[in-house]
Amino acid sequence: MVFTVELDWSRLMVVNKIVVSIANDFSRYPAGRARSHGPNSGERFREDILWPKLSNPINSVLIQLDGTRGYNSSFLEEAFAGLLRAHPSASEGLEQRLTIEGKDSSVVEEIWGYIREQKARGTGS
Amino acid sequence: VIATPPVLNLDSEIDTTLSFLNNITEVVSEKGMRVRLDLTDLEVLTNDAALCLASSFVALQQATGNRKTVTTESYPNLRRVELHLQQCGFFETLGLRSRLPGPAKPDQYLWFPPQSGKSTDGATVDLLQKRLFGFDTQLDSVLSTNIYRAVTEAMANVVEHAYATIQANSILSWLNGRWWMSGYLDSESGIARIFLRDLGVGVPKSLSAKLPSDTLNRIITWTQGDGYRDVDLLRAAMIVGKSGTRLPFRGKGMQDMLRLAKRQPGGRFRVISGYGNVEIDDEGVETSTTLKHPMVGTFVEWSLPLN
Repeated sequence: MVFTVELDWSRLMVVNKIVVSIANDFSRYPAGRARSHGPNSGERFREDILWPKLSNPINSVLIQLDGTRGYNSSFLEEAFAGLLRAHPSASEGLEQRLTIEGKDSSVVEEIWGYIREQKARGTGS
Repeated sequence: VIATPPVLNLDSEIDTTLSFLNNITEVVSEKGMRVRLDLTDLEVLTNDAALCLASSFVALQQATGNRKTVTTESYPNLRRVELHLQQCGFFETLGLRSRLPGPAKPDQYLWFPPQSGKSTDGATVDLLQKRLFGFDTQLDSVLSTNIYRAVTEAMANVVEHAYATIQANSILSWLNGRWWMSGYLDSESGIARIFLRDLGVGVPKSLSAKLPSDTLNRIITWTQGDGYRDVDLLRAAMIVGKSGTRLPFRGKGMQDMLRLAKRQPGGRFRVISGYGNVEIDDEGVETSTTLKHPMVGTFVEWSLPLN
């Protein structure tokens, strides 16, 4: 049996898969919202680590949550919902380009909850 | 000279304790006088009250720019009280010299002496856990993560919201974002207690200022409060945020703090702010009282049985 595959080259793009371990690449002590609130804030993670990688449309990013001492809601909300407020263009295809993994699935779900809430409110607001 | 009452605690003697603390603040900040604390008749100073006394003491010194504004050179007559205050780090916080040698045998308590900071500082929360539970912590990892989450969120609340009214160039700018924290583990009972205090505007005033009155009314109605008393506003801040309330205000931060107590069997979480004193246990049973004297700022406490 012979299969013929036709590729639509215009729709293909190279995708870089980037892995970010928050514990190794950022801090074991993530906490707080804005830079002015602490050394390992959600804003610093978002602006220095997450957005520089996501801003390139050919990148997809895998965030690994394990290895830190924990997360608080201020950090998570600012890092992930704040991404859509600070960079509305990040909203496009985010679910396809961002993967979040960790042993504690409730934190993963919490992050996606913040993202969904922010999308419902409208990005940038 | 102001003599300390024999017993200072935030339980049976909470009104006496808060009256005493407020009296020191009033004498210094409103009458412009210096205060010398006389500790000689002190028989009991629990760690929650010690943190409140230490934070008020240091803040008054800083706010007036004079370490002699509030001083103490006296020591409790009772040796066991002096030893307790020495071991829990109270003397060090107040700049007092320790007179007694350390305990001959291992103390029943593991202490995290009063610390102060102005940022959401996860490393300090990690240190607290290491001091109380050991560097090779045997603590359940979920509990450890919940402690980290709750305490860092309490810090974040202070840093973000507690001092919203302080001007950057004011003499009080030293205070802006500042928290005090301490804790201990009673190795006999297996109960850990963690305390965090700020000297900011307080939860009731902060909530009133932040929310539109119609939202506030809906919250008070939903939480079955009697009105705009501090205790009602405090209950509102602690209870609202549960999913399904459909209220526009969702106190995620307070829920992080409450969750630690709710997920630990026998756990309790207490908030004292203004005239409100609200405690919720692991089963959601709530105890609320209105105090005779206000707590300046906000005091939060977790009580966690570890067995």
